[in-house]
Amino acid sequence: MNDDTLKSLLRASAPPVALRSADAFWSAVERQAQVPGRAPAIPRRLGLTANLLRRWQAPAWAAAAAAAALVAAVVWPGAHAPALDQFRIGDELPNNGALVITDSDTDATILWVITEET
Amino acid sequence: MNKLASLLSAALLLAATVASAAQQMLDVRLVKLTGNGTVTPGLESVAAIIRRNLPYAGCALVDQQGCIMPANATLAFKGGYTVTCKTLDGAVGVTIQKNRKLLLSTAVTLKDDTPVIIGGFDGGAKGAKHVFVLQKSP
Repeated sequence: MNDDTLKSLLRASAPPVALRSADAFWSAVERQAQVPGRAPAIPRRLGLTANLLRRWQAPAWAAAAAAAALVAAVVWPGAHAPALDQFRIGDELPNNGALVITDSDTDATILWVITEET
Repeated sequence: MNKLASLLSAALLLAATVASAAQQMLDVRLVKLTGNGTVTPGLESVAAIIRRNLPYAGCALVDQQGCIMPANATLAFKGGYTVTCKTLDGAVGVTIQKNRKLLLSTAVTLKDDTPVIIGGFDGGAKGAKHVFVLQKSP
């Protein structure tokens, strides 16, 4: 009995095997993973990724906001600078001080000297 | 030769025109604030700011001067006022004098076309006040 005869005999005596498609195989794996009490293989990996995202989401947003603020400060250095840095009223001017007003609508600044006649 | 000279002078004139067009100006206006509602045309936005924040309704232009940014000039105004403007580290140092006596000295940071209003000085008429409006113009 040669090898070919042996193989054909083995094939003839073997039970027929039903082939499954890849989709059917992974559906079965997912169903199995959802059974309570069993260690799911794929969802566990997904869970790990989700936990990582949840854990690092807030720090990532904070870092992005800090980077944006830094860029804004570099690109627009005077964007948040006060319009009036300092002032000195002359000794000759009879005054009771001064008032710095910022107009809420336009962000315009008024330096108003309160004189004795005011 | 004459053609070359005229072409060169035309190019220089064009370059000077473009350069002057790109330069920003510092516009300084002396404005008189009064109780009545008269507003000089062109000062409507300044008058609106004043009305929102101070008890003055009238806004009349007394005098207007300007200088190229970065500023380094002394501007003479009606009423004996002089305003010295000097740009330093991004801010403009402003010194206001009247009849050579110091009224006020400050440093202002001008943002875009947002005005900075400095004043409250005696405006002559009863209750009137003088202010200087500093504004960058493109």
